[in-house]
Amino acid sequence: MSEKSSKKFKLLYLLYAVIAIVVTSVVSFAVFQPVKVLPRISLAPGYAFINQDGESRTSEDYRGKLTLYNFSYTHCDGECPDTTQQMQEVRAAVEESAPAGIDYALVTVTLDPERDTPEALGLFADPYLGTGENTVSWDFLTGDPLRVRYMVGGGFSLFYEAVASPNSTDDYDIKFYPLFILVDGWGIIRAEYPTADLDYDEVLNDINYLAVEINNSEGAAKYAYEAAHLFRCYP
Amino acid sequence: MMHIDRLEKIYIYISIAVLVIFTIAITIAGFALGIQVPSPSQLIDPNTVASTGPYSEPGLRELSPGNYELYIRAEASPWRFYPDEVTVPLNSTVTFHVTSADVQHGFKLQDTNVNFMVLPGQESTLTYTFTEIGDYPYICTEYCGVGHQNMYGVLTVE
Repeated sequence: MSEKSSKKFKLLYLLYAVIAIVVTSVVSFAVFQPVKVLPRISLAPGYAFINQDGESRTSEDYRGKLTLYNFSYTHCDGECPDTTQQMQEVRAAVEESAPAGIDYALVTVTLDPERDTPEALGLFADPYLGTGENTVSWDFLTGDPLRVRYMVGGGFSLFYEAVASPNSTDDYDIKFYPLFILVDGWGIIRAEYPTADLDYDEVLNDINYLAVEINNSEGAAKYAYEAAHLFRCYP
Repeated sequence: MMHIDRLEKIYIYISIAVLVIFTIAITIAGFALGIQVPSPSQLIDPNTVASTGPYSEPGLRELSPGNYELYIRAEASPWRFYPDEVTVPLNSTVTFHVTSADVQHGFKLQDTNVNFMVLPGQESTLTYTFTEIGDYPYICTEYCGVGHQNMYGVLTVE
């Protein structure tokens, strides 16, 4: 064998070795998942509504904050899946044990904007908000019914409809399935909890995953987390 | 070293290249493009889908103007899709949510790319915009059992 062709073979083996190493490391990253992230489910909708104090709130106000949404309305009672009480529990849990250095926010959106004026929401919110000092902000939002429909139905894919109340003829109830949605500071939906009985540990766990990702969102570590998204390394 | 004909050598190299390319393609398709079973966020309890949640009242619902969600539950007792007749207006966007209450089924909407496996415990989701009037039959594409041929429905766009 001539020296020239032997050199050529060595180069070829080197090329195969490089390809093998690249393929093996990519596959092992995807299989062993050393880094885990919450999925980026979809973009959260943009909106401009009014809170319980009559102040304007838009989706931009929640940029840079981990925001948990729930949906309810002030006439929600009896069979209605009012999850607002659980938001209060989440707030206590987050203030007690969620990672520091990150801003958190809670948002309750009314599904009955026709009746739920900011004043009505204020009365509804008072017992939940309490009088103590809280580090986690909590807004109760209402707005134009069509805009609410676009935000909740179109943006968060939660269907709700007015149905005749069984108690009286001129009254109505809003029918919907309970849902909590966790949106990150970039305005991306990261977790959905379609339940009337929220698992606080699960939420805190998910918040921890997001906190780790946020703390590693700069420099070289960022690429490992982007790779985790690419390879769907979900917990 | 054994002499290998030039042409044969070329074929050997092409074969090796094909293997390498396919290995990379499968890796990318499976992990990067996510061509795999639904993610954990789409897990659902098959024992309760028929009694609680949106699958207990399957059908078409308007989320916002022109934007619909369609929940379909596939069942083997009796063999059918719930619902099996759906009407949507022209130019509406429909997000399909399909799950099974029992065994593995399939869902294929004729003349569209809406085609997926329906597994118990998992939710199959796809969004499609209907820009042409007509009847779109949907059928079960997995051989799911003796009543397999009865599993069909029709979506009408008008």
